[in-house]
Amino acid sequence: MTLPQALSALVLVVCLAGLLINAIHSQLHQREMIEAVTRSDSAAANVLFTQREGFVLANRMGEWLNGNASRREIQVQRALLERRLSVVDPSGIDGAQAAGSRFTDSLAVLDEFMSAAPPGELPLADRPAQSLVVRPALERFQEAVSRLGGAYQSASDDAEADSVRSRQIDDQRQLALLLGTVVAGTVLALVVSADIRRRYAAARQRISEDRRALDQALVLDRGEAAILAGIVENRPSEELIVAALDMAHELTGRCASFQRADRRDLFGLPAKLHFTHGGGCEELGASWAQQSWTARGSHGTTLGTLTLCLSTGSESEETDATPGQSRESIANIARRCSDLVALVLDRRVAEDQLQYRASHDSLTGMLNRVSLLDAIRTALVHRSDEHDQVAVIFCDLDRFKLVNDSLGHQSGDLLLRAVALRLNSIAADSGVVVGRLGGDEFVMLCAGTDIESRAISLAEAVSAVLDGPFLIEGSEVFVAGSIGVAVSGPASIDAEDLLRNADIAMYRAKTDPTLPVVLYEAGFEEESHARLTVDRDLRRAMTHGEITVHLQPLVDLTNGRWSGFEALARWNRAGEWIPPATFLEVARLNGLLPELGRLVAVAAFDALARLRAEPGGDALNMWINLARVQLRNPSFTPWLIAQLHQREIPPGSIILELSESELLHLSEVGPALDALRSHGVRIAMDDFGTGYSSLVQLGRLPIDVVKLDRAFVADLGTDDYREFSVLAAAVKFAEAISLGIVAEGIERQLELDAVRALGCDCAQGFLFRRPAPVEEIIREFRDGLGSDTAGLTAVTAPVET
Amino acid sequence: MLLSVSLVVLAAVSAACGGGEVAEPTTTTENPYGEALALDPPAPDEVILTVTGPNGTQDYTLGQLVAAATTTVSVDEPFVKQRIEFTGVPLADLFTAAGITDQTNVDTVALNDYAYDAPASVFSDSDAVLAVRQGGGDIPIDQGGPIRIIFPDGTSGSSNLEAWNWSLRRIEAI
Repeated sequence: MTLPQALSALVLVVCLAGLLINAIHSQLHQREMIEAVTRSDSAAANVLFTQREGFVLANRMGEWLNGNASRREIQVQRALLERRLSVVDPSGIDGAQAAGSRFTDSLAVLDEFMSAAPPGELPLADRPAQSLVVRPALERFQEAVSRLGGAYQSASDDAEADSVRSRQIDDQRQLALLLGTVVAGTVLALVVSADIRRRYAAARQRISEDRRALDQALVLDRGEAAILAGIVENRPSEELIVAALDMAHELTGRCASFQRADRRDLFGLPAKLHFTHGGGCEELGASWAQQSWTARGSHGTTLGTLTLCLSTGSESEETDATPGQSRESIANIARRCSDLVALVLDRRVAEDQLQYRASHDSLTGMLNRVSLLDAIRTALVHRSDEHDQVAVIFCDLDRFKLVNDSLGHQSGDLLLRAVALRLNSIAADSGVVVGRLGGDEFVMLCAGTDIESRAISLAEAVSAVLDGPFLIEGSEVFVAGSIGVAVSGPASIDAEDLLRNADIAMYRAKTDPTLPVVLYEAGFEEESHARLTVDRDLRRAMTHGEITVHLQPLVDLTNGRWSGFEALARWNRAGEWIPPATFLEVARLNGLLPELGRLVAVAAFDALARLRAEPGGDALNMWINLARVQLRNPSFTPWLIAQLHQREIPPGSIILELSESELLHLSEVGPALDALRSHGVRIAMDDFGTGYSSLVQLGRLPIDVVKLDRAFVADLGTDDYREFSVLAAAVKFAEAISLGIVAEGIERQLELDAVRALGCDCAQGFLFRRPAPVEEIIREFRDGLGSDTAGLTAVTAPVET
Repeated sequence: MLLSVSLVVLAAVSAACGGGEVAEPTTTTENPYGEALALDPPAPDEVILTVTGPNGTQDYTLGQLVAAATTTVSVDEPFVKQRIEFTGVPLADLFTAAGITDQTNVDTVALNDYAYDAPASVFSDSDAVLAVRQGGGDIPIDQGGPIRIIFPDGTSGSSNLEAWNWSLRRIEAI
């Protein structure tokens, strides 16, 4: 309640109280007046009646004096008057007192006369005398009766005047109080109505503000929804950003502009991005919302900052809120709009990353197969003339599988990354596209005139960088690349064919270690085709008995006798011998190895059984190559033992050969090997010295024999002792861990001398006998050819160590 | 708010003032009736009341009225402010005898020609009595006698002083 309100209310209360008191006073006065008037009326009536009875009495007395009335009539009238005089008026005064002493005194004189008068009518004789005496008293009485009315009248008038005066004062006071009440009431009403008007206006303003805020929120929500829908529909980022600015402009009535300052360009939007909406004000306004933003999935890296500016176009209002729009609400709009812009950009970055992942190899970050083909396709399309050609360089790592198998997949991945780095450095220098097709296959792409020589020199550069050692987890690893190059000719060619041509050329390079780089020629295709048909033919060959076993003898160097044979698979396809490397690789790739292995084993057992039937044949051993995949089958060992039992072959005469790399998967093959050895079957490590196994690992392997790889003896020369020392160390090592040693691939007398000198007691090689069909070997054994090998007869003294 | 409070207060105060009637004190004296003035005896069998109604005119002597006076009532006499025991005839009986019904206007006239007229019910409803005896004796003329109309305490006629016609002489249906 305000001060004016309180004051006017106070005045009003005082006036009302005054009115109340006045009304009470007036009413009390009125009551007094009424009582007084009633009293005086009653008294007046009494006096009037007294006067009347007095006049009647005086008349009767006159008639009595004239002899016209009896004394009784006088007495009755006197009694009636007496009755009147005894009446007490409301003020407690009786008629006699009201009439006064003059009246009562004159009445008493008359009473005295009458008491002496004779009863009945006055005799005629007495009338004169009585008249003389009574009439003066009667006249005095009449005068007293006459005066009764006047005396009363004047007293009554005085009282009337007093009462009128008093009422006038009451009325004046009441009028004043009424006026005060009206004035105070009016003031109060005005003050209160002003207050109500003020509150009403304030409430209206609040409601209109709320409504505006609600409208804004609605526009904001709809706009947000539209932009979010746009994001989902993959609308262009620029369009969505402009829509967000439109919304900010619509809601704030200001020019909205947006600046992006990023560390780097993204998705073709320049790092400094500037969108303006609203027109008219090119200057940037005050910054209303600024935030740094990060793209999802980018390890939380801050990619840049967004600044949303709103400008009124006049400097003075830059930082102030527009009337009717609070600073907070503008800031809120700016924040939500900039959130939307950030979301749009986030989405754009996410898309970009998704696209990158789809087109790039995740391991090396290089282009993947799909994008490589795209790149080749694009390059082919953009050829300007016949001199402008496209070249594809196809590179496959030679020993990647070995690294993967011996050092593990993690090392293999590291190696691939290291290779990618080296290739990238070449590509960056020469401005060509490079990518990884998958596995250990890498592809380079270049285009232009005189592209063939350029591609070959590029391929040679690749070969050179791959020849250098790679340091993988502390180990030096050597891989070489087989590289094929294909160049588009004047004839039209598609990307897939060009890539396949390079692949074919690479395969040629792989099969010929002397040619690290091979340029594709038209004839290669047929060769490649032939290779592709091997698979189909091999399956047929295995069921049609085209796969046979050849035996190569192992010679006991102590006595020159054949101590056993290695069973080797041979494929004669319509009179043509297929190289074992070719069909074994195909069998391995196509999962035919277990079947092939079993086939060879059965043939070898049969051959051994027949050899053992020959005189002196019961001491012969059979060496059979085994693949790790065969050992995975848990029924392999029982099957093998059953086969031996069936042919009455003691397990001790069987030696299974596994390559060094296969033996390194000890956890996989260990239990099977242990089972075989428990039956007496011996295990040999094939190609010892070519793998990466450490000496410690070798010592733990469940093997009985090692076969020294030909690499140990191939380089032996008369003048160089280093190779010999290496060979000697290998033999000593094998002896040291109590393993039997077989020297493989002995082709020259020199080699034989060397291994014999080192104490190697068993050897195998072309020097003694090339592998031959079983029938031939059995015949030779029967003929005693195996009892004293020709090679040994020519043995000369070994080179002294 | 303020106005309404004020009005309520005003109403309450005025009600309190209007409701408080102050009772008039009644005064009594030891000798209630006083001495009567000397009066010559009336003529024998003087008619003191004449009642004129539909049944004709009926004159009554004091003796006849005294003989019929069966109702005794003690009232506050409002003119001399005394408690007086009256004995008399119910006016209703006289009305019945004269054939005056409640709806009939009757005029009562005193010895000094004072007159008061009203419907008969004004008297009969208040059990008005035509008093002929006072305290066992005649009513002196100077005390409203010889006969007078009185109303028992608490009746509406009791406060209607004009209806207390004393020294009554005639009752006439008009």
